[in-house]
Amino acid sequence: MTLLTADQPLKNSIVKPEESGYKSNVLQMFLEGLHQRDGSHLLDLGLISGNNINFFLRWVNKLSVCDMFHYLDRERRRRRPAGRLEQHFDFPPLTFDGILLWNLFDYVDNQTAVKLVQRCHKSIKPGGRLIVIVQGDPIVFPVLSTFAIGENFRLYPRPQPHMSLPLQRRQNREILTLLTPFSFAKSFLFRNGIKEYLFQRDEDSPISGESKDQMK
Amino acid sequence: MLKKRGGPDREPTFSPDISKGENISYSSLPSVDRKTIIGEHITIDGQIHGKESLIIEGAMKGKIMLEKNQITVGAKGRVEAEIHADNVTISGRLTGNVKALGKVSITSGANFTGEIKAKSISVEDGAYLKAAIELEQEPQKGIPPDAKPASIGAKPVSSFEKKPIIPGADPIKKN
Repeated sequence: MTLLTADQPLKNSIVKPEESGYKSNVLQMFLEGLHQRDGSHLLDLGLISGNNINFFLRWVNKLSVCDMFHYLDRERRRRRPAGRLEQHFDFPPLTFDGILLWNLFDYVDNQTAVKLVQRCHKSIKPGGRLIVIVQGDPIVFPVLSTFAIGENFRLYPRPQPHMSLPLQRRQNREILTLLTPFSFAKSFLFRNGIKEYLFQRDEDSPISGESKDQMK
Repeated sequence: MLKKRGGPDREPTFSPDISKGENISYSSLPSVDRKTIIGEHITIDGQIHGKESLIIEGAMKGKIMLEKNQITVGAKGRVEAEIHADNVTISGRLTGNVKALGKVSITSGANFTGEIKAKSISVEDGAYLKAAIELEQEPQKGIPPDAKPASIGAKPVSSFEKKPIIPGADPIKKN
């Protein structure tokens, strides 16, 4: 079976993405950066995965996990606005050296996305980094997918059909605007449609205010 | 009759031969084999200290100190406590801080909020966690000591390398 990877075109491929995976350049850069920081503390906002937890604990001193996908799905089923996410994302300021947002922005509206960015900016230390992944073509990811980390920083999409979060597609420009409080560091676009972004909080960046509208 | 196990230097332990219809005396069991079960309809508010393993299927609030034994929060357990134990298994709902000399195992039905310090951890997919996790052992660094990882941690953004640092990665576009 032909595997769909970053090296191969999507066209005429019938392979299921979860069988293929791709090597995440940004994840490698991110973790190698964290590895060099003393007492590094990582926040993973993705779906809980024992495999990923043990992987990250080989690279950082402390790992916090806060499953935003589960939270957003639960709030949606209860017909409650996800805008209350500050009650769930309630970490103290300047706590983390790195935050993994995964593809969360693909499943939140603009208002929630802005709050997420503000919360991340508030809780990350100066010089800390942020990973954002934007999944591409809905044909490749027909349902909400999270990622399992394999060897050599390969990410394997894991479909989560039981979750009902609507896809919110955003263009490159929209992502960059949304993350204005951070400095853009690097991005990669892969043939399977996935875009990876690495952002960094500047050393002299002030803490985001909750009342400040960074994107309207 | 109870059979004695172990030599003279060891704490005497006994194993009843059930097949011969021998009586089982709970106090004769080695402490590691002893288990106390807090049943589904029991609620405890306070502290638990001891040298026996504990299974909680009921409700418990307070502090549990069983440094050399196992604590299991069963699927129906509701615990709000600080826990010190050798190994901890969480299958129910637990809020609090866990310090384990050994392993913390979190099963798929668990709901945990708090901090975990342990030697190792296993988490089944499907578990819900909002947690800070630290492993007591020296973190196994993902890179051999003599290898030089890309030095990007302390650099300002403006000094980022223009090329991807990973050989063999083939993104079709990079910014």
